[in-house]
Amino acid sequence: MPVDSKLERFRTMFLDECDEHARTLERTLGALQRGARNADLVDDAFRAIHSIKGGAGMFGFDRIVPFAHIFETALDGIRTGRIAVSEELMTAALRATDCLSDLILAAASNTDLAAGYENNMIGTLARLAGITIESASLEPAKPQSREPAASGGAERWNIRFSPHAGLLKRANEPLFIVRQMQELGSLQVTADMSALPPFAQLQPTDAYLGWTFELETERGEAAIRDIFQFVEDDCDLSITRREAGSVSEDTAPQALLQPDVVMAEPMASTIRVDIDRIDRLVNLAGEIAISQALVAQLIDQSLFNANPRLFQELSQLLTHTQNLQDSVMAIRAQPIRTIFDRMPRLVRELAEQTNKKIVLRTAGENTEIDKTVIEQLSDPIMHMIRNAAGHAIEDSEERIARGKPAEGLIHLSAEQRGSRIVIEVGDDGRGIDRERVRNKAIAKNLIASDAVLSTEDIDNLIFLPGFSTAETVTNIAGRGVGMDVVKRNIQKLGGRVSLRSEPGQGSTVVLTLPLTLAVLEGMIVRAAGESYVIPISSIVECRASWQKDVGEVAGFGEVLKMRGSYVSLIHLNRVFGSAAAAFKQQSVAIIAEIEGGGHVALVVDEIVGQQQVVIKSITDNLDPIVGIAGATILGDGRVALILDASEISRLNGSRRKTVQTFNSGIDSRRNVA
Amino acid sequence: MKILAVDDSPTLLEILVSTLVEAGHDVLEAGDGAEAMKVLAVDEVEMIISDLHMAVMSGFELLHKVRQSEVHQGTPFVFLTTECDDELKRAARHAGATAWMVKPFDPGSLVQLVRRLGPA
Repeated sequence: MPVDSKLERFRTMFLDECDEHARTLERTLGALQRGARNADLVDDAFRAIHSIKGGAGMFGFDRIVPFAHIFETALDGIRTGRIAVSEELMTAALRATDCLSDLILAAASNTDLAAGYENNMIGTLARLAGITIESASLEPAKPQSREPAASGGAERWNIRFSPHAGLLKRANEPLFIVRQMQELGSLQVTADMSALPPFAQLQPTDAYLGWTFELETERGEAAIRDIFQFVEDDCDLSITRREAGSVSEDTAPQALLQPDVVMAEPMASTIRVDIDRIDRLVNLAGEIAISQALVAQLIDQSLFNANPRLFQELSQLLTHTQNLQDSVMAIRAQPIRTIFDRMPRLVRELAEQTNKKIVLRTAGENTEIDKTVIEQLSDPIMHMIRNAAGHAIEDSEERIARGKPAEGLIHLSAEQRGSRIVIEVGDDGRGIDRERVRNKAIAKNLIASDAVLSTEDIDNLIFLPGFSTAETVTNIAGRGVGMDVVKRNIQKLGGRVSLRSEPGQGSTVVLTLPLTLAVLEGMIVRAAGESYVIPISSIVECRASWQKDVGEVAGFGEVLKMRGSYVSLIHLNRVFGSAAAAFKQQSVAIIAEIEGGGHVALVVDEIVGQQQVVIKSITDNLDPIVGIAGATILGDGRVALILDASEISRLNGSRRKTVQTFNSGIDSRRNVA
Repeated sequence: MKILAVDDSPTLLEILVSTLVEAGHDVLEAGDGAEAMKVLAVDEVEMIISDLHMAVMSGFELLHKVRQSEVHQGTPFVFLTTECDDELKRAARHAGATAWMVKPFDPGSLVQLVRRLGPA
């Protein structure tokens, strides 16, 4: 590998590592700030900053090094008990962590932060920790260089080196010393064997020999002393300058130990693997599952009867395949901690900006979830936390007036339930003001003024596009994106969003996500003579006798009446087959949620069943096809396309009309069924 | 030469390992002192290069254990650390460290040090 790309790889690796260390700092300092007094926390924090400093020096991130150095000194002070932990100090340390993260980010993106950006922070930290900043202490340690002695010119040195008996036991090796001295200049060595005992009394692990070195070098005494630094205590040493020469004899002893090999448990280890390889493995495991289902289908019932063991072995194979698939998926899984650990900073900054007191509590940080899902969860969670801090949680006076603790609480939790991950973001703030939400929705023409809505319906209005309850746009929560974006993003991941709220007591948003994006729970349907898959996560309900509820709305085409509201009706037969395809008696209308909060009714010929399918991308070979999210291979070996209900509804020309929009313009409808 | 490299920073460990491998050495790696002990229990190495501050077992503790082991009590043990405090160096010397190199290290100097400490 060329040196440059290798260095680049190390650099990227180190910046990733820094990110991890920053989160460790965040976690440990946060706990200390909240009052925890635990030596391990301080140690963890110290090691994190220490590693950042070490690596930063290696890569020449010269703004990180001095900063990390002061930070490290402060933490070391705490570690050794020289500096007392105080809330003020920890708050400063947390801010310093934020500042450090910014420096790391800047280094990662090759951008330069304003000169002196971190100086304030360094000053504060140093002041609180009682550290005097000398310009020298800001200097990172440089690789040791060999400078010639100030005096210049070669000098002759006479060095007597007599090891004590125990020198070898400390794994010191006189030969190293000889070699190091050779590097300094021209060297002559004389061995002194006078202390060598008779063979019978010789202890093989003791040192008996001594040496006299005559060295001619331009380097000063310090350079010579340096060589002996690690043996100083185990020898008699004299170094004198003189003008003489003598004969040399190099008789340094060799290492004396011939050890036995001890067998013990093999080491536990981790390896780093390219994500592409794992993806291939995931795909292959999926293929195996499919092939196996195919084989199982091909085996005739009569064969099972003839050979009962066949059935037994096949079930066994099924279990193994399932385990294989689970294990492979587990490789891609990461703890959600990677996201949760970023949130304390956010909450801290939000609390500062809004002048509120807010505590964040997290639970289930170790819940594991697919890497791809994790990557896309960060924004929605951040958005919901912004909402909670910006809108939901009241300021201290208001909270006290309402009989609540002055400190607002945001809780963030994750847990696995079956094959799904449930993430909750909750607060103990105002809760949803349903009257206000309703009025707002009417004012924004999202619902009819006389619409009858359950409390749940009202709560869910906040997920509609264009809905935002904040009267003024703040930079905390209201940036034109609302909960509709959260919902859309979660739906893209095959997840669902729901909300429960208690006026005056707070709200909780519940995100339900699949464990992985590689497989999905799908409903297999037939239309126009082909099988299709509709993701279960988007299906609201299925209706067998739907024909009687069909109507038509001018400009919207066919609609299906659904408990007082209307949804656009799409015949998959017509989308994928001939326009004239007739209704079949047993056809079913599948009501699916679409992006933006509305619904669409997809009419299919029949429902075949429900099954987990492995998602295959078709965009590797084809341009994206509107309405098709991917493909899968069914148990019978046939390819089935996975439908995207939102795209299909758009394809049909209904242009994202929502249920509520229909409700407000419904007068001109007429029945055709 | 067979060398055990110990560092809890994956990046620095990787740099250290790659420096040594390029210089033609066989390198075993460990992410902390405890891992290092597991390696040393099954493999005999000719040199140990270790970080000082590590979570599970610090460099000092590792050095102490190494010096007590039968197989490795005489194996050269080099500290590779950002620390350059004389007190610490003295403590390391007393505990039986063979050499001390300050991070950030210059790969050339490290290779040279290893060559110097290695068997003749």
